[in-house]
Amino acid sequence: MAPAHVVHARGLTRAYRRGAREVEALRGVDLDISPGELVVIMGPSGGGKSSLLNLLGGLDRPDGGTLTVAGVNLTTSSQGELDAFRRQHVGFVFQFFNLIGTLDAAENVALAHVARGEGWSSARAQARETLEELGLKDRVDHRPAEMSGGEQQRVAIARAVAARPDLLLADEPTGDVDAATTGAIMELLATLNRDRGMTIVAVTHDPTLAQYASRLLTLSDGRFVG
Amino acid sequence: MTLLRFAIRDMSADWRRSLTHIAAIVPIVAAYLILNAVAGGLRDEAVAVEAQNIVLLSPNALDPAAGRLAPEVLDLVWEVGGSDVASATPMIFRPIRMDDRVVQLRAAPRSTWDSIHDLTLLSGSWPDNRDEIVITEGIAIATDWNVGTQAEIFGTTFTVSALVRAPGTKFASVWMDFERADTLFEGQSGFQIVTVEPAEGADHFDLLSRLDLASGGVFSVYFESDLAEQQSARKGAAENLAFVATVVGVAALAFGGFNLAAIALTERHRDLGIARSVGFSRGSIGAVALLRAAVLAAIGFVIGSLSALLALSATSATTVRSFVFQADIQPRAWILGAAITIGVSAIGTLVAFRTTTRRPVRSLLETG
Repeated sequence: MAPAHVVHARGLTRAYRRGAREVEALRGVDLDISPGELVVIMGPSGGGKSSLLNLLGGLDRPDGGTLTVAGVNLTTSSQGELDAFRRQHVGFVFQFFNLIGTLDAAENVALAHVARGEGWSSARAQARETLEELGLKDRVDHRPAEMSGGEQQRVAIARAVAARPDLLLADEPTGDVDAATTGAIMELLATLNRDRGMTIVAVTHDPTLAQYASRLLTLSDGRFVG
Repeated sequence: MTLLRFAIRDMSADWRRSLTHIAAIVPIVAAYLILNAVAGGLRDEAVAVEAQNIVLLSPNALDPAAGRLAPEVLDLVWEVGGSDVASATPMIFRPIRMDDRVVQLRAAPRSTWDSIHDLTLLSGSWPDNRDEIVITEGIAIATDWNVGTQAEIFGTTFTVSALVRAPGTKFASVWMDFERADTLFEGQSGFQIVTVEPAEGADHFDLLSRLDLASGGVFSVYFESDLAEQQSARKGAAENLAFVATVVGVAALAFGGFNLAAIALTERHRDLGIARSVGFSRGSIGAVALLRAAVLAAIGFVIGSLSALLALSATSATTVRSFVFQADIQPRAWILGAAITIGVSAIGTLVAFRTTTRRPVRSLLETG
């Protein structure tokens, strides 16, 4: 039976030490996200958005509280279990695309399959299919430096969804592209959400993204407000 | 296998960085192997204790070839030694260039070659005309010369008439008749060594003492066997120097390989973060990094080895002052070099890996 919530978090806390100072990034966050939601989290810089995203993606562990994503208890998972969790359940989209510059688009996307233990040839073939589905057929053999910012971000999205994750996490996905491209990127995410039923959590400063959200949350000073 | 293919794909895609990595390893490997070969060649040169002749050399000469004795020295030997001296023969001893190779020439009266200098005929025949020479086994090994080979010395063509065996420090030398050499060098060379053969029944030690007392600092007096030992010791010092150089080469190889691997990984901190974010485990990333470093190190080692072989084959004999020897790369040098090159690259990768993969994904969020 599929879990009722893709994300189920209670009382999440996370603090970081910056020099002699301890910064409380999250101060008891509760969050439930159902399958198929497109949740946009907004809020000021330093409000805890990226920290929450890191926890949801299994890149970091909470100091307190409980967190279950796609049925996996991330509070108690070992490092190996977190690696496996990332391989099987989540995809990441970053603000600065974060493609490997020496690999072409198909190879960048293929990484998601190789990480799951698939052979290189099979991974590359599947990557080409994904890129074609996302309208990047002509950019399959291009390296990041040969593509525009919007195209790079779409390749990054293709990589994130290539392995059909339960949850797509996007950290400022339009933060490094122009206004026209912002619309195209968000349309793509909305299409993935609508057509594939993909659950998406996007963190952003951009208020125009709110129109794409099925739910809008504001995180400030480590807590959801409003 | 997929990880290896991924590593190879990554290397070929990032070919500039890969080439730089290899190019940095090649000269270190080549230098290490050449130094090792030189050290081995010095170590392996045969040294045997020679007959109890007495030799006179120019004093303070680091190399016998650098000295020059006055003709009056021969008169002095007879005057001091008297009936205790059976023979006193001059020898021209100098490095010469033959067909672009530097070899050690010894020129002594033909009649003394077998009786006093202990040359043993192995093949061919003793020279019967003035433009014939003989070569020793050491020269034959270091070159591809043999009986019948023609070579040019000072603009004159000589023919090798015989291959001979010579003991100790004469192991690798070319022999010519004294008069012929003196004519060839137009009397410019003088002579560098006088070999005194004690008469039968003479007290060798007493004769040596008397010659030493009479030398007046003009020449030094040794038993030939002692000289062989001294030269052996000098070669030992050279060997030690080569060994030190080899150790430095090994250290350079180790440190260089370590740093190259570490830098390569540190420079790709972001790429590691990307790999972690898509689900690669630390182990998988480590394996790819190790494979990458090992393959690059192996390629660097192979090219470095070929470069060393090429350099050594260009000069079939190595000359250190007037000593000629063959510098060969020993199997253990290959094995040690390969192990160090690949091993330190792996260690460098692992050490850098430990520091660069602690929070790799943070770099994706912070630096873009």
